[in-house]
Amino acid sequence: MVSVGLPSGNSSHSESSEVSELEAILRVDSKDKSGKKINAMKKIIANMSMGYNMISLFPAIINCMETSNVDLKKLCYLFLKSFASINPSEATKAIPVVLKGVHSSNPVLRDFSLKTLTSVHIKNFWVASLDPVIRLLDDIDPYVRKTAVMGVARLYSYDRKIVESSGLIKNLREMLNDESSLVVTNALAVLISIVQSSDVFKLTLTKEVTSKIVDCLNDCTEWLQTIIFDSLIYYVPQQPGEAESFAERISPWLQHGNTAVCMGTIKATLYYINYMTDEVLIKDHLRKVVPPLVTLLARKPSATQYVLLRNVEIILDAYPEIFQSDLHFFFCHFDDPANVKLEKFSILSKLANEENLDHILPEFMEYASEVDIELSRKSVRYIGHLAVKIESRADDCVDCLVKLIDTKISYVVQEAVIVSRDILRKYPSRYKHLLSILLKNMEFFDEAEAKSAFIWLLGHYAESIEDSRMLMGEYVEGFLYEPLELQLTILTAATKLFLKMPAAGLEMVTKVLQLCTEEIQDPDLRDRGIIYSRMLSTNPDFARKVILTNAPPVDVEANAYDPEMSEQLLLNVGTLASVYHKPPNRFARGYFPQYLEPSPVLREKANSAVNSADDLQLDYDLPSSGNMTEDYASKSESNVDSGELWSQTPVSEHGPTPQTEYVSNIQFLAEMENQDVPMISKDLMNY
Amino acid sequence: MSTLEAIYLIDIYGSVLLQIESRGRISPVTSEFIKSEISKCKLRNEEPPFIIYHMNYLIFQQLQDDVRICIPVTCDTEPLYIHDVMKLIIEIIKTYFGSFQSSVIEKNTSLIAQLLTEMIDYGYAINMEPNTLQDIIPTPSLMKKFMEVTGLQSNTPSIHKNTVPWRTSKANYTNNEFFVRIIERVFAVYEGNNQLAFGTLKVDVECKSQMSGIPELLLYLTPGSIMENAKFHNCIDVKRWKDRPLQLQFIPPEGKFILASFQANLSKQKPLPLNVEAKNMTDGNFEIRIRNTGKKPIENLEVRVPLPGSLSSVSTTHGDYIYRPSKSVNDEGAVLEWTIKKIEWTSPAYVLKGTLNTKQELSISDMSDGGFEKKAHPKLEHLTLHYKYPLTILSHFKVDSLKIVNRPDMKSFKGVKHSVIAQDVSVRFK
Repeated sequence: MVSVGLPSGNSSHSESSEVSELEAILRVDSKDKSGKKINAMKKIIANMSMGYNMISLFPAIINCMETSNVDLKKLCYLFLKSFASINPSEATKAIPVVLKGVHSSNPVLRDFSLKTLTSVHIKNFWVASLDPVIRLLDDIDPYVRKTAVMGVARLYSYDRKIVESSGLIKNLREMLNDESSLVVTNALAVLISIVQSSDVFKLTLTKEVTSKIVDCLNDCTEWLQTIIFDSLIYYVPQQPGEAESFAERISPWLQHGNTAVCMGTIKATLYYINYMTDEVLIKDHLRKVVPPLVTLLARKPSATQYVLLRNVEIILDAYPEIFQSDLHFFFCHFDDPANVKLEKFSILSKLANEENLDHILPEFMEYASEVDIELSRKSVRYIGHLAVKIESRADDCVDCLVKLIDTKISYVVQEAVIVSRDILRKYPSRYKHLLSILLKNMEFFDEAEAKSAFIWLLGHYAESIEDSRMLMGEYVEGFLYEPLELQLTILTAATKLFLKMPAAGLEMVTKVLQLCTEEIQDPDLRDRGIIYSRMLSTNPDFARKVILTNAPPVDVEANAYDPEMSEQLLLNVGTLASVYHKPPNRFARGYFPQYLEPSPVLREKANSAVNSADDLQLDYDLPSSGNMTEDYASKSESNVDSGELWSQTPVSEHGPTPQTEYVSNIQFLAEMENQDVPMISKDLMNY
Repeated sequence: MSTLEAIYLIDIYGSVLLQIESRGRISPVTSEFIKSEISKCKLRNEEPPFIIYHMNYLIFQQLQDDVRICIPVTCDTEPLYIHDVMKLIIEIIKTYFGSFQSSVIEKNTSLIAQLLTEMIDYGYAINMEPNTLQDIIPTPSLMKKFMEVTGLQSNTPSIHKNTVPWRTSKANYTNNEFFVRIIERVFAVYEGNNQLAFGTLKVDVECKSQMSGIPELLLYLTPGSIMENAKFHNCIDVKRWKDRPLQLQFIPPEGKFILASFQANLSKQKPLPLNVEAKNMTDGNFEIRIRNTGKKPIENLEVRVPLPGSLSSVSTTHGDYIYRPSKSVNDEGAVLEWTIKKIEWTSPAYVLKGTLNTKQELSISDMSDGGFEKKAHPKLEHLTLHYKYPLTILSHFKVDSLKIVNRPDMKSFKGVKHSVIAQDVSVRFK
C-alpha cells in the first residue's frame, strides 16, 4: 500500500478554486491533454502529501484512469492506493476500471493494474483480485507472473483462508519450476514468508528444485540472490556428498561485493557443513568462510564491524579452530569505537593459545593503557583470563599483571585484584607472591567488587597472610556499613579465617555472627549467619568440611551457549539474533524457531561440554537499545564461594528447621563437595 | 528473511514526507511513534540508535542530509541488509534528483513513490540496480526531454527484458570509454620506532564505464597480481576467475562502480613512504619527526594527536598546527592537529615539538586516591596519520590490458591510474 504524506483532515484549508480548476483539467475529454493531466495529477498528489483534502476529485480521477497513457494511469493508481485508506467505500468504485487494466494487452498495464488491485487493503479489492491473480500466474510476460506471485503473498496477508482454499499455495510451488529466475526467486520469497508465519504449511525443497534454484543465482540481481541463500536451508541433504556439492556450487558468491549476498552464502555454507561427512572437506569449507568475514571486517562503518564481530563469536564458539591464522584482524585500532573493541577483546581471548600468546599479550598490555577506563579494566581482566586459560604461559600473564599493578592506577590495581582471585583459585600455591604485592596496594581497594575479591583472598589465604587477622578485623568493624554483597563475603571470609586460625578468629567470628543474626534484616544474610553459627556450634568438623572446600575450578572459557542455542544462532548468522546472541523469537513476534532437520547425513555435534554454571549466563531479557555488549566475562565470577549455595536453601524464618532434615542437607552437600576437601591439620581441630 | 514492512522518509521536524507501506501491517501511528522516539533522543542530546524498539516491531533509522529514512520490520532481519538497502535508496534518489534534501523529495513525491514501489515489492528488495531502474522509470531530466521531443506525449516505459540485470539497455555513446583507477588504502599500526605492529592494504579497483550496447570485457592482470580475500561486483564471472586468476571477465554496468576489492600484505620490501618517529620525553615533552623516504611527494598530510590534558607549548619546523581543546566532558578530548600540504621526497625531516602541561588539576577522584602525586606524568599514546601518495603502487597488483571480447575493433581502454591513501595509520608513541 502506498500513501503519500499524512492523510489529514484540514479540508477547510483547501482552496476550492484550485480544486475545481484541477477537476476541470481532468474532466477534459481529449487525448492530447494527457500531459496537462499528468501535471494536474502530480499537483494533486503533492497537495495530498501536504495534508489537503482531495477527496472531492476522486470521481474525476476514476474517469481519468480509463486513459491509455501509462504515466497518467500510474499516477491515478498511486492516488487510488492512498485514497483507499481514507475512504474505502468510495474507493471500491474504481474496481471495474482497474479490472479492465488487468485484461489489457499491454504487459506494463497488466502488471500495474494487478499490483494496484492486490495492494489495496479493502476486502472488495482482494476478493476481486483472486481470479486475475490465478490467471496472471500463467501470463506470458515474466514480469507480470512475478507480480501475480507477489499478489498471492498480499492476499495471504489479508485473508489466509481465501488463499488456502483456492489452492494457490500449490500454484506457487509450481512457480518454482518457472523458466524465469525472476519468477522463481519471488515465488521462493513468498513461500518462505508464508511458511514462516504459518504452522500449517511446511516448505521442503527437493534436490532437483534446489539445484535449479542454485542455477538461478547466475542470472538474477544480487538482492534476489539473498532470497535464494535464505531458501537453501529448506533443503535437507539426504545422501553423502550432496551438501558438499552444493556448498561448492555456491562458493563463488562468498566473494561477492554485496555484504548481504556474502553473509547469505556464509550462512548457507555453515548450514551445509552440518550435513557433511568428509572431515577434510568440512575443514576446507570452514576455511573458505574466513576470508569474506575478515574482509568485511576491514570495512567501515563500525556498525558493520560490530555485527560481523558478533557473528564471528558465534562461529568461533562452534568451530574454535578457525580464524587462528587471522589474528591481526582482531587487533584494535585506536579509533575503533568501544563496543567494537570489547568484541575484539573477547574474540582475541578466545583465540589465544600457547603459540600465539606472544602476539596477543602485548596487545592487551597496550590496551590496558587505554584512556577509556572501562576498556582498560577489561584488558586487565582478559590478561587474568589468559593466565587461567593457558596454564603453560601463566607465568608471562602474571608478570604482566604485576607490571600493571606497579602503575598504581587505581582502577587498574582494583581490576588486578579481581582477576588475581581467579588466578589464585586456579593455581592455589603457584602465585602466592601476588598476595604480598596486592597487600602493598590495598589502599586502592575502594570498589565493592575489588574489596570483595580481596576479602575472599584474606579468608582463603588467612594462614599465609601475616596480618590477616588485623585486616579482617577492620572489615568486620565496618560490617554494618557495607553493601549486602560485601557483607556476605565478609561473613564467609571471617568464618573461614576462624576455622583456619581458631584462636585468632574467635572474637571476630562471634561478632559477625552476632551482627548477622541480631542486626541484619536481609533474610539471605541472616540465614547464612544462622547456618554458620549452627554448624559451628553443633558439628565444627562438619563446618570445616563444608566451608573450607575449594570452589569448583574456574573456567573462563566455558562455551557461551548451550548446543541448541548455538544451533539456532548459526542458522541465523547475519540477522539481529546473531547480534544480540538471543533466539529471534525473543525479540520479534511471529517467528518459529528453526532447527536442523534430521537426515541420515546430519553430523553429530562434537560433544560441546556445557558447564552447568553457565546456564546463569543465558538471560533472555530484551537488550537495551543503546549498548548491546554483554559482560559474559564478569559473570563467571559470581559463584565464587561454595558458601553461597547456602543462600539458596530455604530455611524457615520462624523456629528452627527440624534437625534431621537440616543435617541431611548438609551431608548431601558435603558429599557433593567432598572431592576437594583440603587437609586440616590436627591442632586446628581442638578449639 | 529480511522484509521491509514500510519505508518512511521523515524531515527533521518529524513530519512524514513520504511513506510506502509494502505489507499493510504497520499501523498508522508508527510515524507518530518514530517522531516521539526521535524527539526523546533529541532531549537527551543524543543521536537516536540505528534500531529503535517498539512493542511489535523494530525500526531501523538513519539520518541523511535533512531527511530521516526509517524502515520498520516485524521479523528477525539482517541488519546489514537493511543498512545496504537504505544506502542504495539514498543513492538512487540522489542519482535521479541530484540530492536527498527534503525540499527535493517534497517536489518529487509521486516519482519517488513510483521508484520505491518498483524497487521494493511486498517488502523485498527486488530491483535495486540504478541502470535497469532507469529503463523503467526515466530520470526527470530524461523525461522532460522526451516530453519536449514528442510533444507532451511521454514515452511508454518498457518492462525491462534485459538478460543482464545490472546493465541498462539504452546505453549509447559517441565516444566509448573505460577508465580504471586503483586505490590502495593503508590500515596499519606502527610502533614509535617506525616498526610495523600490524596492518593491511585494502585495494579497490574502481571503474568508470561509458560504453554502448552490451560489451563483454576481459581485463588482463600482470603475472604476480595476487588478489587475497577478493570481493567482486556481481558482474564478474567468479568461476572463470578461479580457473584463470589473471583474467577478469565481465559485462560492466554503466557509470562508476567498484569492480573488485581485495587485500594485500604490507610488505617489508615496499615500506610506506613516510617515516614517523614519535617519542615521549621527560617532563611532558614530546617530539614527532616525519621524513619522506619515498621517491615522490606526499600530499595533504594530516597528523592528529589526541592529548591527555592541555598543552603548554608547541613548535614546528613546517606546516600548520591547530590545538583543539576539549569542549565538554562528553567530548573526545583535546587534539593537536598538524597539517602539511606537501612533503617533497628530498626534504629534510619535518619536526613538531611540544610540551604537555604537567600540573594536574586536582579532581575529586584524585583526592580519594590520596593525592595527585600518584598519577603518572601525562604521556601521549598515539597519533593518527592521513595522507595521499599518488601515482604509486604498494601491492603487486597491475593491470596489463583490457580487451573487448565481442567488439575487438573498439579501442576504449583509457589506462589505469594508481594512488595510495594512508586511510587509517596510527603510530604508537615510544
